Amino acid sequence: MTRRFVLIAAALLALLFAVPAEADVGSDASKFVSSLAQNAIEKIAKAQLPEDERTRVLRTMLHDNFDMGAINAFVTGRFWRQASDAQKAEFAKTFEDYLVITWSKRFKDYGGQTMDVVGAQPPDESGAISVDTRILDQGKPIYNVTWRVRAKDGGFKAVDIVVEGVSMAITQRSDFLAKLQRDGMDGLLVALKEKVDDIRAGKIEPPMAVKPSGK
Amino acid sequence: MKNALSRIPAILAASLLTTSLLAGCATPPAATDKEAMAEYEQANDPGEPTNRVIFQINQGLDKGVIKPVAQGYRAVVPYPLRDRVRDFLSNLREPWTFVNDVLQFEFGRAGITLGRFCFNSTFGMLGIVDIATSAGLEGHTEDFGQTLAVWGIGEGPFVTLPFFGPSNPRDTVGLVVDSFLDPFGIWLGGWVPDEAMWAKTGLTAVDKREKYLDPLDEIERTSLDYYASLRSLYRQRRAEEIRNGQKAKTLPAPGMTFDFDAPADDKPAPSGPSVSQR
Repeated sequence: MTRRFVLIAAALLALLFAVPAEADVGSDASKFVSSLAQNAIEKIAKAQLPEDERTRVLRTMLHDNFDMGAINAFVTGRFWRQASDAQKAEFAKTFEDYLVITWSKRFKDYGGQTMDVVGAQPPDESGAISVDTRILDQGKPIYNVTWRVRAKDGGFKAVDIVVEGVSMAITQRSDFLAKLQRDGMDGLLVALKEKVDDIRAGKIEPPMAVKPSGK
Repeated sequence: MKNALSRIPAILAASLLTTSLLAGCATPPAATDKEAMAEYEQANDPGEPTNRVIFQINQGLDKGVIKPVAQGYRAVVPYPLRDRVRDFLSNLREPWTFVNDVLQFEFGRAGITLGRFCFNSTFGMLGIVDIATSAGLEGHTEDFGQTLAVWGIGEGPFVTLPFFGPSNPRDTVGLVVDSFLDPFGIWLGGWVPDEAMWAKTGLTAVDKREKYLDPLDEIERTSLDYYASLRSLYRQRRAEEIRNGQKAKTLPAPGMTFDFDAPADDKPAPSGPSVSQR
């Protein structure tokens, strides 16, 4: 009796997942964000991996979950379309190094924060879904973070993270465009590589005379 | 009048703003280059050369004086005490936030601010302990620049103010009005000694700088162009503050929106999002 019930329930469940309803795209996007954050916390932040192992895991995560093609084009604007294929490839590689190294440092300072999905908004005219989350520190909400994701390749890919109204993509774009306007794509590539090397070498680690005071 | 003391910086800022606006201007790109023009308009920074000079001076002042003082404050005063100082200073701001809540027709939020001020000033021992937050009355701040924005006044071009940093004409007017019309500040200035008012101004600045020590270090560390990053951050944060954290109707940044249906002439493989002007 119970067994039959389980079987029927399983079949119904399978049916549900086989036919992804249009209306469920928001909750699917929420699940994507939730598991992405969970993964990042479990596999990177909590795992206390050695430096190079941490960057390796981060790189894979970035590849699998972010639409880097779209992000690369966005943060370089009109210069992307003017760039040669070689420049594009080089930018993609360097920008990835840059993201991995900066996020790797951030995860190193992880202090037990968790994330909570608040809800998703229906896709806007560009097809991007905003998933609203809260970062909690000891159960108390400290930041609102909105993840912008798009359906792609049968799953989802993130295109932006918006922290308290500040979009990472837009901020990055402002930073890069200022450099691009002055020195072009080659100038940006040189400066970005230098930045990555300096951060990696710990040359521009902020001088922390005193431990930051956590709440 | 004693309160005049606290007005000096704002008056100074206003006069310097005028000069900076009249001084050097960036050369806009050729009107035929539509994309470059759109980029120029999005940056909203026609006075960029002058702004960058002021930014450099501010940076020198920060690195030489303000930041070391904030670091010293963090090193010497333990966190629980700094937290009490922050709560106390925040409480002094509540009446002005209340006035602006009302001016923005945000009566619910005005009620919360009023409740917080009454609660914290009494049971919270003159605001030293923010007990209202634990009681479910979470705080927020408003200023006159935000009120002007709610009234429909646009930000105008981006401006870097001497000492005060990133701003715009609307927020500069807001800053001046903030220092002139804060009723509680006026009342306080009427009977508290000048030294105490100066101490309040100084402590507010140090507390604020201490609060941003880590985030600003992080942004400077990871930016290629710190000025451009801060300009973008300031505008996005202000837009968020004006919306009171409510969802943006279109998208998160001023004058910008993601357009993932990239223009037809875009390369097919990475269908890059482009930015269009709103």
